[in-house]
This record gives sequence, structure tokens and C-alpha cells, in this order.
Amino acid sequence: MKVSRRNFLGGMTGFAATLWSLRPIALNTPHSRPERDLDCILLDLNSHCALPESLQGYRAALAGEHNHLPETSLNSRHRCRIAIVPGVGRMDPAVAWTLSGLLESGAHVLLESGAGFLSPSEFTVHQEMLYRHFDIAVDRPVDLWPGKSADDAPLTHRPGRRPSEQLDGRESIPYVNYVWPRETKVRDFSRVIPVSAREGDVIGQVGALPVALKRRTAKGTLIFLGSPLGPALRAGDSEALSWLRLVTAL
Amino acid sequence: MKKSIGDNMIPKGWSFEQGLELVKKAGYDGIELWLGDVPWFQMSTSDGAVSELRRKVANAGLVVSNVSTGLHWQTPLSARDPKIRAEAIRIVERQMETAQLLGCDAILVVAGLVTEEIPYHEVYQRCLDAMKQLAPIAARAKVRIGCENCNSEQRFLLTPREFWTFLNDVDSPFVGIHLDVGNIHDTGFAEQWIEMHGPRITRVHLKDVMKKRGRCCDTVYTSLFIGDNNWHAIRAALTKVGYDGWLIAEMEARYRYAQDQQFYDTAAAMDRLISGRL
Repeated sequence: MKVSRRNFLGGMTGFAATLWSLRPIALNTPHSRPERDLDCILLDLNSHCALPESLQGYRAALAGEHNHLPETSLNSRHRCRIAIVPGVGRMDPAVAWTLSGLLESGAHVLLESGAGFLSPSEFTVHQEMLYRHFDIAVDRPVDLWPGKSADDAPLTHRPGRRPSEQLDGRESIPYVNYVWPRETKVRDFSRVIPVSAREGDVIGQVGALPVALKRRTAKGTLIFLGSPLGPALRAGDSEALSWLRLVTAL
Repeated sequence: MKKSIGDNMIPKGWSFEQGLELVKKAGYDGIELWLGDVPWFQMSTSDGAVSELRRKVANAGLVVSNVSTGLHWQTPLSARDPKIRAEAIRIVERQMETAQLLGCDAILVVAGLVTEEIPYHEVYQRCLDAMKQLAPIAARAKVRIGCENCNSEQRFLLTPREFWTFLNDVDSPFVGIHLDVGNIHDTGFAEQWIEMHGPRITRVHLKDVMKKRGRCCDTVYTSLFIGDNNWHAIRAALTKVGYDGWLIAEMEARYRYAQDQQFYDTAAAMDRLISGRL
């Protein structure tokens, strides 16, 4: 195949631009020093946050004990003890790289899925993103409540499934049972995201269905929630608040 | 006080114009328009078509008392799905837009639904968020949002004190209560709600209720003066708080036959209530 100089240069420019946009901004390089050390980052994914009320819940619960950071402000020079990402829908690859970098540097990263009410195509993107960047496999949302919910009435296209035998055959299971960092029951969010990973410990279940896990990385810990905690925090759920306090105190 | 009745009471198969004629003949001063409940007034109805509705109402010698909707039963402001909540907000915004086009200053909103799966404290917070978001829009539109007390059906804001706290939390003169004196059922007494909310009452829905007198000892709605509402006390409370606005008939129990007769009978009962001849 013959490639003209113009085409070659054009292609290389595009390639460089792509590489720049996907730069691994979380990596430590000799030239990038930590911008500042933060204790707790609450990452605001803006339009990629599928559950804004969840973000509000964390903000209210953490009050003055966090640094609210829009995703556009997050860069590789940030360092923190814990980063919380509420209501994850989509995620910019650069942000995912940065979070991976934080994990490598010893931070705890709490990723909360907001995928319960995404459209099928949005959910597929969410699924692929989690697998590619965090090695987490999630399955389609599971409706925990049988029968017709007011929530379901107008939107029948969503990729929800009915509870399976994994829910112990019970018709409705109103709580997520967390076993770490301590045993806690938090009311479910009507749709949960089943989760699995090659490594890691299941820390939350609905019936027999795993919906939360944690995994040690080189130095840090990844915590994944398939049942959003933020709405319960927003509503003042004391158990949810207690669970979050323990996690942020790790 | 002025009399109004919902356009969703117009017998099935009748046109809007026929309905307006009946409402006028029966002696009402205005009509309540139900967004989404009747074929002539849907979310998809254009501004031009809404203005045409106003012209027809005026031609019939009536005015629009308020804009109501039952759409929030299916699309609640308290839904967990943010897409549904956004849709619910859009419904309220459209109510306000059409209220302006129709020349009225009040809308009815069913604020939130507590269900088995969506608990009270979540519903409270979401409704509060929604009303805080909508209040400035209402202020700009000069339209008051009346959150209806649908006590038994909503399982939300069940007592006048809870409702009072909710409105305090919203903290806007443009968000009040659309008080339905028939909805209170077994959880209290309409006259106490009137006294407690006074100037925050945007509109009053009238119907009667037979408490635990249904065939299976359940509570059922009925026509005015047949049920257990204490109409003397309701009339006195309305006078006490200086309510001089719209009374809107919402007859949930419809006549099975001669449905137009219910318009006349209800209007006559409302006249007796307004004049105090009870």
C-alpha cells in the first residue's frame, strides 16, 4: 500500500493526538511531583455520574471532611488516602488511568456503580470500562423487587432482570448485607449490579448475590459497590453513614 | 369563594366544548384542567392548542381555576431512577407553562409516593430537592405549586404537622398545599389541616368520604354531604383562615347514570357550603 507524505503526516498527527488524550496521567514520572496530598477526594464525574443524588449523599455525609474534585481537575499529581467516585456511569479513560495510579500509589479507591438505570448501550460501555480498567466483571442489573414498580412503569427498555434463585428464592430482599469493614445492613437501591473479579473478597451480598467487593492492589485497595450507597446517605440512613465512616477511616 | 370542577369529570365521549357548556349551565365559575388525563390536554399539546383551550373556556363564560395532573402517579418526583425524576420535573414545568398560557396562577402536584420499595425518608429528600429546584421557576412564572395531600394513596406527609414541616423545609411562598378535604380519611380532620396551613393553601378540592363504612369496612369516597366530613367545621375553618379562593369539585365516585346530573347536584351542594346553609 502506498502512503503519501500528506496522509502519513496526517495519520501521525491524529495518532499523537489520540495518545495525548489517553495519556496515563496517573503514572509517577521523575518529572511529575505530587501536587498536594489530600486526605479524601470525592470525585465528581459530572455528566458521567449516573446518579447525581448519590454524589450529593456523599457530600452531605462527608461534610467538611473531603475535597470535592470535578473530574476535569483530577490529574496525576494528586495524591490522596482515599478517593470516592459516586454513581459511576461512563468514565473517561484518562480518569480511569488516574484512579489506577492512585491505587498503585497506595490509596483506597471506592467505586460506586450507578448503572442500575442506564440504557442497555450505556450499560455495555459501563461494563467494558470496569473490566478494562479495574478487572471487575459486572452483570446486568437485577431488580430486587417483584411486581410492577412505579419506577419501572414508563421505561420498559431498561436491561433489568428479575430476581433469580440467587436471592434465596425470597420475593423481596430489602437489604444489602455488608460483611466488611463490619457487618452492616443497608437498604437496597431497587436494582443491584452483580459483581465478580478474579481476585478479591466479596464484602456485600443480597441473598447469595455478590454486589460489593474489595481487592488489594500493589499498595492500595479497590472497593466496588454494585448497590449505590449515596441515596441512602442522602436520606440520612444511619447504617450507611456508619459504614462509610469506617471505610473512610481505613 | 368560587366554584370549579375538573375537566376529567366530563362524561366520556363528550367534546371539550360540550363539557364546558355543561359546566357553565350547572353554575360553576371555572374549570380545572387535567394535564394528561383528557384527550384535549396532553404533554404533547402545543402552546397554540393550549391557547385555543383558553379561548374556548372564555367563550363559555368560564375561567381556568388551576392546572392539575395525575401523571405523577406513573412518573413520580420521588422515583429512584434519575431519568424518571427528570421527566417528572418536566411535567411540573409544563404545568406551569400551560398555567401561564391559560391565565391561572396555581397547579396541583402529587409530590411523592412512598412504596414498599422506596422508603419514606428517600421520598422526603427527593421531593424536597424537586420542590427546591422548582420553586424559583414557579416564582418567575408567578404560579403557585400546590402539593396535594393524597394521604392514603401516597403514604407520604400523612399529618398536617408533617406537611407543615415539609413546606417549611422547602421555604418558598410559591410552594404550598393543594388541600383535598376528602383525602384525609382516617388520619385526621380536614378542618385542622385548613387551620394549620391557612395562607399556604393554594386551592381546595372538595369531596366527601365515608370512613370505614364501605361494604368491607373500608373507607370510600362519595358525593358531598353523604360522608363523614364535618362540613360545618370545614366551612368555619375556611372562614377563620380567610380562604376566599377556588373550591374545586373532585368527585371520585361518579354517577353511573345521568352523569351530567352530578355536575348540577355537586354545584348545588357547593352553593350551600359557600353560603353556609348547612
